[in-house]
Amino acid sequence: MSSLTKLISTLARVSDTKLALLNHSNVQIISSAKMSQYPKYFIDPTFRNDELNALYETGEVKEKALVPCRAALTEHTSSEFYSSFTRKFINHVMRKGNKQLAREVVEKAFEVIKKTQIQKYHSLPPEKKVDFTIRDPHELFHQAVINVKPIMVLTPIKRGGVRYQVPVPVDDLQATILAYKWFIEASKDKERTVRFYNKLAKEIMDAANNTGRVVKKKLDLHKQCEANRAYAHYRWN
Amino acid sequence: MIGKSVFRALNGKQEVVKRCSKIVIRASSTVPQMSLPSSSENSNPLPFFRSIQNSPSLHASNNSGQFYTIDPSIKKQLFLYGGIPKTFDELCNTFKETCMMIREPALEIMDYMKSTNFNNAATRYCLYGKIGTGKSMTMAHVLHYGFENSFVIVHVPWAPYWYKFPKEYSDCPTKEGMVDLPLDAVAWLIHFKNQNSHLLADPNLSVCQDWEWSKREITKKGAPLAEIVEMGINRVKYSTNCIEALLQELKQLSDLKRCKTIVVIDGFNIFFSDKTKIKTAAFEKIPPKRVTITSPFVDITKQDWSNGAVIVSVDDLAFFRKDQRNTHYPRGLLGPEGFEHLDPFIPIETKNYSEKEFHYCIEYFLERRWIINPHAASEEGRKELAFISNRNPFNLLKVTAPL
Repeated sequence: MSSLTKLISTLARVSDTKLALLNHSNVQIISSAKMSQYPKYFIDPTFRNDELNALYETGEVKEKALVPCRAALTEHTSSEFYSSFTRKFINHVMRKGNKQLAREVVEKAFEVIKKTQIQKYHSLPPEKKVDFTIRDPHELFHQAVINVKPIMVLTPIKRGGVRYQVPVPVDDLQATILAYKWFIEASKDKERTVRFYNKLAKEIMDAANNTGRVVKKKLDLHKQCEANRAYAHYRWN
Repeated sequence: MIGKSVFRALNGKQEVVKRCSKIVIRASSTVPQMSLPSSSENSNPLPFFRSIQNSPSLHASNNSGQFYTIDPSIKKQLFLYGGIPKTFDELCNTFKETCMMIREPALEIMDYMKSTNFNNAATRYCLYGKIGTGKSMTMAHVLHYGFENSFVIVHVPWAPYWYKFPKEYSDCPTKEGMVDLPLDAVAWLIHFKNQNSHLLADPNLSVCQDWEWSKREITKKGAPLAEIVEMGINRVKYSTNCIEALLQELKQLSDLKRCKTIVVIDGFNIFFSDKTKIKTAAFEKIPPKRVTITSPFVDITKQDWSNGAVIVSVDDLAFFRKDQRNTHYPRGLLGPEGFEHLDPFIPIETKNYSEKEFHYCIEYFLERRWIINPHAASEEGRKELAFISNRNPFNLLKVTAPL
């Protein structure tokens, strides 16, 4: 493992300097590549009640009221139970734009997680209940994603007519997206009679304990990265 | 009894009282005296949302909104083969206890039943209300009351099952153009036997007339009622006939004051619809009235017997989806024929949670750890839950599920 971390640190150092150069020279190109329909001076909407109240308290609202603002997304709500993290995951589960179904499925998985925990809790004798903590399914999912996020991935790079699987570090966003993808893949790989949400709940609970298929997938990838560390220099050569 | 009258119960509290004053002798305004059991002396007093009284006979309006616990053995006897909604049953498994809220409609029915003059014809109650407001749960509560007061229970957990998901059907050998549901009839008899196992040994419950099933199989007058039940369970061919005989016998026995009978039928309006999934041998789809199991249950809801109570519910979900009528009122759901059959009855509406009931329910959920999200306990969170679920009991359960 120590060699892997060393590898990552060297790669990260190189990539940081490269990115810095890139940013410095080509700011315009990178920003235009996002293809936003809004001009750059548009600000993000404030849709949470507490944030809005804070704006009024600080008096910042007077300035913000005059700046053009992007439209709020459909998932932006001022609900007490809003969780931006799970909202994003719902978007990844969604197929063919059927967001309602995706939301139902994910919420059902959370319900299953909660139910299994409560059932265990209530079947314990009263003296043991004190030690048993029931964790919020949203929090548990957050922990599971943190456990599953990879630090390195393999990218095919062509050198001398041969494609090499080269280990490269991933940024946080890409790693999160990969984690989401693996959760969905693992939950889909099931028997026909098993429900998606039941499998998803199981995978999330396993991953939160640092066990299970999805965590194994991450470890396998890391192992592969370490095996291919001889090709690491193809990244910049 | 009251003659036929036009049903005007859209907002019908006054109507109800008017009807009831004729039918039942109203109880005096004092509530039954509560005897506090020894559990109140424990060092851990019960939280305010739990009732000390676990016996439905002692529930009074001051218990409204509180939760009472059903003993597992009673639950097993009453609801083993259905009778409580599936979602609620799952919740009970999760919580490792069966707790039900004491609500106004059930209290109303039980109050009427306590003050009914049982010498008169059987009183008929019709539960109606929007989806998820607790018709079936009210029935379960009243069923528990009947069980405690040693009523003979005739309970159909969800009548539409027979017509939507029949186990097996075959043409009736004795009646022309009718279809039998032998296996469903057996299942119902087993359900009946299970629910009344404590009463069937009673010597008072004996058969009033000879019943001839075939040349060799005869149930003689004076034999215990359980013999008819056993006959139906063992000889699948005669199961529907046995139900017919059993219900007729129960009517007679009740009339003779040898037992009290409570009839509870959920999804009663399906009996008067015109569509089932059941086919004759000629592949012709038939209406419920041509199924042999229908007539005995329609017959027992008539008013030609005494010493009993009939509680039916009407539900839009009972119909096939295409036939649903987008109403929850008995007039629309029963149709002219059904309404004519049931009239006069006492309409009882189940409603969404009141402010107090909602508050108690949230407290119960928090105690059982059903709601883990810390925001839900706050006032803002409660407001939001009330708004999203419209304080509908079923919706509240759904909304709080992922929290």
